[in-house]
Amino acid sequence: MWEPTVESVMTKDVVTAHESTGFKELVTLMTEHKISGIPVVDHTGRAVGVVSEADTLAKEEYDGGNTRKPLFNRQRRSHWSKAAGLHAFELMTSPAITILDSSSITAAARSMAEHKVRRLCVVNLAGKLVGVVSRRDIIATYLREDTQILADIEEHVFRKGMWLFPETLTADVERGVVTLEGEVRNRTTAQVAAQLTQKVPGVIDVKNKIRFEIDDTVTAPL
Amino acid sequence: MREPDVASVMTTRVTTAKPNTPFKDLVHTMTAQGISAVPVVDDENRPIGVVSEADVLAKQEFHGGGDELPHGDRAGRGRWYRALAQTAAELMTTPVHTVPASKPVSVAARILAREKVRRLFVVDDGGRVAGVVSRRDLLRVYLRTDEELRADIEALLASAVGLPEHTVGVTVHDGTATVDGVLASRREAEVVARAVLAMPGVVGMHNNLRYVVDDLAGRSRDRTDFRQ
Repeated sequence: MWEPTVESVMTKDVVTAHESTGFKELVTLMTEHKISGIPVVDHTGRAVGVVSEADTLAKEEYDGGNTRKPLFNRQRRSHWSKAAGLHAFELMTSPAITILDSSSITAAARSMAEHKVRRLCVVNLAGKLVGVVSRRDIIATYLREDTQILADIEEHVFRKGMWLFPETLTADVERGVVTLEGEVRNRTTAQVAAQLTQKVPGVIDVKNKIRFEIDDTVTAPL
Repeated sequence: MREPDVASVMTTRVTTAKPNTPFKDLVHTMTAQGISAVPVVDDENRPIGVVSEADVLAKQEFHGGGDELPHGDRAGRGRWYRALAQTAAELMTTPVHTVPASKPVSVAARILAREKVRRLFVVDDGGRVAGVVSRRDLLRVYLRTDEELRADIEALLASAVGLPEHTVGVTVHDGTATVDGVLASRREAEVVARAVLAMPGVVGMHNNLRYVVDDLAGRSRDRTDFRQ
C-alpha cells in the first residue's frame, strides 16, 4: 500500500551539534530554533547521540550535581551524572535512534512509540544524518485536505488497490472521516475496501456502508 | 534561596480542549500553535486529562485500528485501542500532572523528570488551569548573561550568606562561575560553594576557595572540592 516516506515529511535543515559543543550553546540553539532535541554528529556526519531538553534539565533538577547522588534508581543516577556535564558528549543520550529515509511514516511512528522518543535521526544508506523527523511531522499528515484524501482513495484504493470498475464504489470525506458507499458482490470485497481506505494518509476513521450480495465470511454449517 | 517560582516562568496563554473536541481539531491546534499537548478541561476549567502528540500518533502507527491487535505487548495493545479514538475524551491520558503556581522552579523540574512528562499544567488555588510550564520554560534560566549572574551571586553572598564585600571574588564565563578567596572556616566555604551552585542559571563552578580552619575535619570531601 502506498504511503508517504519519512523523507517526504522530515525536516531537512537540521541544527546539529558536535561532541565538544558547550552546554550554554546547546541551550541557546534549543531556545532560538524552538527545538527540543539536537542530534550530535561526529566528524564523518554520523549521528552519535541526541541532546534533548530532558538531558539539559538535569542540571536544574540536581543543582548542577550539588545534591547527593541517588542511591538505587539507575536512571536517576545517570540523570544525576549529567547534571555536572558541560559538553554535548557528556549530556547526550546515545546511541541515537535512527531510521532510514526511505521508511514509511508508520514505521517511524512505531519506532518512536517503542523507544519512547519524540524524534528520530533520519539517515541515508551511507549512514549519514540527512534530517530529523518529529512526532509533529507525522501527525501533520492528519491535516490533509479532504479533496486530497478523496483523490488518494480513488487512485490508490479503488483503482490500483482493488482494480474496481470506475463508479462501483464512492467515497465521501468529511474532515478526515471517510464514508464508503456502493454495491459489490462479496462481503470480503467490502471489508478489503474499508481496510485499505483506513491506511490512506490523513484518514481518521472509515464508515463502511458498502452493500454486498453474498456474505462469504460465513462458513456453511456442517 | 532566591529561586523563581513557577508563576514567573510559566506561559499563561493555554489552549484547552473539551472532552468532545474532535480528533482533527486537536491535530490542528497542535500543529498550528506549535504545542505538543493540549489539556482537556471540564466545565469549570479544571484539567481532567491531556492529549499529547504521542496519543495522536497511535492512529498512524496502527492505521486507526486497521492493523492487527499486537500480541504480548501490553503497551502496544494500549496504543492500538487509542488508535480508534475520535474525540479528546477517548484520546487523553489521565491523570494530568499539575503543579501549583506558587511552587519554586526546581520542584517543577523534579516533577517533570520523575513523571517523565514534558510539561506541567499550572493550577491556581481552585484547581483551575492558570498556565503551563514546559521544559523549555525552565531552561530559560540558563540564558541569563554572565554579568547578570555575577551580580546576582555577589548580591546573594552579601545578603544570604552575610559575607563582607570582596571577601570572595566572583567571575562568570559562559555560565561557569569561578569563586576565589580565603574564608575563616571550611563550613563557611561549603555554604558559599553550595549557594553559588544552586543559583538559577549557573552551569558549573570552579572552586578556588581556601579556608583557615577545617571545622568539618573528618568529614569526607564532597563534590565541592576544597583546598586548604
